[in-house]
Amino acid sequence: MTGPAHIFDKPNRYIGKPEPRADAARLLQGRGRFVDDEKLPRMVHAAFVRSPHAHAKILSIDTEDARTSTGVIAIYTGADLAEHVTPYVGTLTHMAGLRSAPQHPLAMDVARWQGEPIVMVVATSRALAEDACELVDVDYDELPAAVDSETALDADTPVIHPEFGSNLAWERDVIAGDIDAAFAAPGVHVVEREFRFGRHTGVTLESRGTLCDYDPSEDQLTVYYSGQAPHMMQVIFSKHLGLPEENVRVISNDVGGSFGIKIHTYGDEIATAAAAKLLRRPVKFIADRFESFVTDIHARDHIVKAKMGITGAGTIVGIDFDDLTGIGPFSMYPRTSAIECNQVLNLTGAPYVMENYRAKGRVVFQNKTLMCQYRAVGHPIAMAIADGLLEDAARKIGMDPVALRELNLMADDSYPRTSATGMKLDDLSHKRALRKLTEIMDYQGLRADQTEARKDGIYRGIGFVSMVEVTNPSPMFYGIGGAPIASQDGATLRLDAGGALHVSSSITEQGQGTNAILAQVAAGVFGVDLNRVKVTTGDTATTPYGGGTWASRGAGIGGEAMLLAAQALKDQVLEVAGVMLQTGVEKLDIRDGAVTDLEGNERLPLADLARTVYYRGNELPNDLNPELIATRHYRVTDFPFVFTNGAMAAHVEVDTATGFVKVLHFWAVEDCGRVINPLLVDEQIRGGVVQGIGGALYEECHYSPDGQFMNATMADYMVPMASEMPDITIAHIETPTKTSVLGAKGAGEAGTGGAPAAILNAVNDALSPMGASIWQMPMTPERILTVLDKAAE
Amino acid sequence: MSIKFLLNGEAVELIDGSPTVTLLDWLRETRAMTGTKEGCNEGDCGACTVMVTDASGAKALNACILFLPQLHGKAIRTVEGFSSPDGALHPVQAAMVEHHGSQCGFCTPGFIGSMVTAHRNGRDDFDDALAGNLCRCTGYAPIIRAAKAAASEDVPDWVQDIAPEVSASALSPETSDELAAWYEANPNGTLVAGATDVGLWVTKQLRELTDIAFLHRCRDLQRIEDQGDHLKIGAGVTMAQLHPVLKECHPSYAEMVRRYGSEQVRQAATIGGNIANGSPIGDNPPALIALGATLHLRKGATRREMPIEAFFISYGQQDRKAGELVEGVTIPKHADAMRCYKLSKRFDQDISAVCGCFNIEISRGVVTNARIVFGGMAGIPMRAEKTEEALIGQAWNEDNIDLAASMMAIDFTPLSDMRASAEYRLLTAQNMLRRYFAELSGMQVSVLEVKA
Repeated sequence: MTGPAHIFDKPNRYIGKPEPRADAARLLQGRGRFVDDEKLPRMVHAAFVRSPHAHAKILSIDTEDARTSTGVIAIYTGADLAEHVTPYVGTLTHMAGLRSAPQHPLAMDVARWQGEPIVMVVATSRALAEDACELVDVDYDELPAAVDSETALDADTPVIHPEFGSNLAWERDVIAGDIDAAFAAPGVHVVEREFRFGRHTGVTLESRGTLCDYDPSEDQLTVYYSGQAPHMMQVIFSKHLGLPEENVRVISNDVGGSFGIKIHTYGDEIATAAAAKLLRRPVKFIADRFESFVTDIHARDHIVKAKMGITGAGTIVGIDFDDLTGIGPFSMYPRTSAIECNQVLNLTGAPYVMENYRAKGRVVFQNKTLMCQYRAVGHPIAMAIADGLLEDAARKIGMDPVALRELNLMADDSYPRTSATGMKLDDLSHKRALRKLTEIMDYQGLRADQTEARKDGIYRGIGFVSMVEVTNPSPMFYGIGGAPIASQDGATLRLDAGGALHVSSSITEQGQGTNAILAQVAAGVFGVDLNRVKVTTGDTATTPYGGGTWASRGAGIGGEAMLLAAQALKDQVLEVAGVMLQTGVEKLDIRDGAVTDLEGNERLPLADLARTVYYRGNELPNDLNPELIATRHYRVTDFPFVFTNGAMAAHVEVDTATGFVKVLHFWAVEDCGRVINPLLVDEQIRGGVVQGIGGALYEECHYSPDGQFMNATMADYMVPMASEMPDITIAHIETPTKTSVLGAKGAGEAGTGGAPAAILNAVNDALSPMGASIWQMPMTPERILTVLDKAAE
Repeated sequence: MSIKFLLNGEAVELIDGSPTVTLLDWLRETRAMTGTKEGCNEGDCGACTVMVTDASGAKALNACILFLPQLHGKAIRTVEGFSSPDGALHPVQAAMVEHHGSQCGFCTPGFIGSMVTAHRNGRDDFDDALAGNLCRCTGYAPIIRAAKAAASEDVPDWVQDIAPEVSASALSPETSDELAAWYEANPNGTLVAGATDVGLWVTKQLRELTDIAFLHRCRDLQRIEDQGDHLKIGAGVTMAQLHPVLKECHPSYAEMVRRYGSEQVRQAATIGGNIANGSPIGDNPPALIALGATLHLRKGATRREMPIEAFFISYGQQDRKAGELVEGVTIPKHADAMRCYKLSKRFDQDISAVCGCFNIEISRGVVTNARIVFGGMAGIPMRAEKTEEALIGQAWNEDNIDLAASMMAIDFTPLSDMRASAEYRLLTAQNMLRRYFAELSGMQVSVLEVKA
């Protein structure tokens, strides 16, 4: 644990301030540099023949006609690339018992999901490559598919990897206390529901893509990569293509949204790198929208049977649930597809005091697109289980859901403590957050309005969630299990001759405002104008080593590294200034680009200091070795993760004739520790909430019984649009984490983690006068009408 | 092929090339202007939105389903051309910086295209103007705030393009007479009006189209003629052009048109195209049938007309001869009891699960005439004949509505697909009739009119 937050006592113009982001003007003028905007000399294009079947044996592949098609440079099958790329397996040692089969960039003998790449065609243009794909003749023997996760473990379901003997990938039980005894105790009411969470996916506006260039003279692979973790990908390309790690450079310029989609190993991207190496020229692959739908990782896919026990007075005695997660035919490499389920097991009910807990998780293989970590991994499921059951229980015992939460939430002064599942918790503010929430939303007013509206046959509902979000993961998350995923991040600051700062960091930007907060921390802690800070991220050749931006870790870990580096550079600069000014460093500070005295009077502009050091070192004493560059790294040490908390509420109206839900308003109170830029935090909460609403009401990957993806276009797969999104009122509580000086926890996923539970509860509140309730997401009009019909019977 | 247009103020003339190259591909690949983005290549996401100006004004259009010949005689402005030549930001760009309206930046150029166009046209209905732009990061509120903040600023002169004067192009006839003659001579040719559907034949189905005529220069097809009691709507009238006219005479139909595709789609899509391609889920035909519209067809010099419901024979088949084109449609100006209900999973820019249109005449409490039409319930837009029969001559009351609603099960055997199950379609169609009854009885039934 690091020392007190003394730097925040000093004048600081940037940390906590709503600065506009510097990247915006560039993006608004169309000057963004996304992968498909890059063009290299001799560049060629890849397209893929993909499996039309969910499960099929590949009998033969005939590429003869395609090879002579106009513009074709090369064609590769799975067997061709297997000679150059070693297979990969999505398991981690700390996920005990997790199993998955070796994966190749292109399917070898069996295709296991619709959309799996089978053959790669490289041609002088994407159009010509697609034309040649049409001429590739693959002879398949279609196999019965295991599509439905509910029957994946049945004896008569085809086993996707026969060597495993079943479709079970992983299972885990978590037990605390004695749940059976707790439920059986006199006066305990038990509510029981079956939750279904459909599959959805990221729909990043910029689809996945890569441009790979290989220089044989230096055995150097350069990868332009639209993604979140350049250093992780550097290791993966190096390891599986047989290149020295230092000879792989991964560059992420602008990334058009990621949300956890672009942080995995995709066969088509690995194949593109292999082709570049084999052809010794740049190869570009950009997924089209159909390819994105059928190959980008999907999210959720849970069926949960859950119970909560509660006393008549409203004390929660425990939760018992069984989660079944469908992950597609493989566990994704290298993060694995078991983390989602594991998070559900770990996080359910984490805001509440609870003695008894029993959870079973089973993760099963299916012949569908791979499922893996997407924004707010497991959180929407965990929050919907606990808070869905809590409001169900509130209705059962006739208690107000806010009062029931007040009774059961962990007290703000009760930390540090552990959750029922043993998670270490500290610095949380559930009760303050809930009280602030009910204030800003005028809870009593809304209840009165609800009563009035019901008289006119208008059904409105109010739903809540109290939640935690996992942020700032320590090495316990991935590194401990053998994944090449850094949990620490680094930051470098360099004072240039003109007095400007050039800073770089290993965290990455996909729209969160990473570059903006790095600049704010650097400028604020070091003491220069914000517009004199230039930021570099997303390049393994020029930034410090680190994990990148995911799991809401950018601000908390990358921000802290930048703070430490800025303090270090400040100390180094002041040492030089002290010598130049013949003054003790304790009497000096840096403000507004100049060395000042403690009252802020300018003593020496930074540019003068830097020019002296760089150009006229002869003016300095020989025993002074000025270092105008500093690097620091940071990792979380005392906790496996840092937790944030929040309270959210949704106000909806349900049209009982059509089942259509309109979200009238949404409120979020978030405690993400120290806020570096309130506008950026609000953006993350708001965007996250809207993605959560998407999963709750609209988004679903529909599959036919034989495993065909039915709605792989933007016309048929529905994401939220402007007009149906409510305004979202956001308020903050700041309880800095004691694990760092900066005290920032992270805010990227809270909205997505909490919103679905709040919407579910609001819809069920609206439906309650009819005695109906819904436990399936997305809550489509048809599903709502169905439960209304059932209740009327 | 000679195509002339202005690109960010600069004159462009294209002599050779395929008529089915899209503006988006041409900008990105030929001109290396990569600011305009491809998000879906099917007109759903709006990342490729550009501003296109012609004599009828400035429009926001999707460049991914806009063929180059459609630009002949127009002025195009892309994200590279929205700030001033000396680098000053357009007011909406400045507002987007201030309100944090851009996160990852990939949808941003398209949003700017829609916003600059809305600003140019003095619009303040931003939810509608931006309904065709998809953003996955911001949650939209900051973008809407930016649009509002910029609304009061003057329209900068650098975005006030004037479309260039051009001479006729072989690919785009100037009049319907020329078009009818060409089509009669080339009966297997393809007519392209707004390309919101034909564009997908090329970008998604990868079809090769030959013998194409582009309709956008046929001004005489783009008129709405007031004939006293009736309106004659030319086939080339866009949904955006039709919307304000409908708002005056058929507000419920107009409200449905507000949700028809998106701003970009409505600016391109024509009513003639929507009728001619005969989709069972097109939203215009049920409304037109409910209004008792007359369809006008023309082959060469020969014209004929028919009640529009007769045009739709079966799925994929219409009563249209080879080389015969839809010239227009005539609708009554008054139908006070006409109501349209579009049901979809998402409010905006979603394909209807069921679209129901009702036009029932009641005299002294008794139904004298009924037109009840559904899209999405059969292979074609279709009247609910048994339901209508059950109502005509009966008292307009709840019991008879329930009785009539039960007849829909005889009228229709809808499909189950991922948009809705057969049962849901039938149930909601029946509920639409009940809603219609409630609405005509003066009850408030639109969720949109309810104040929270």
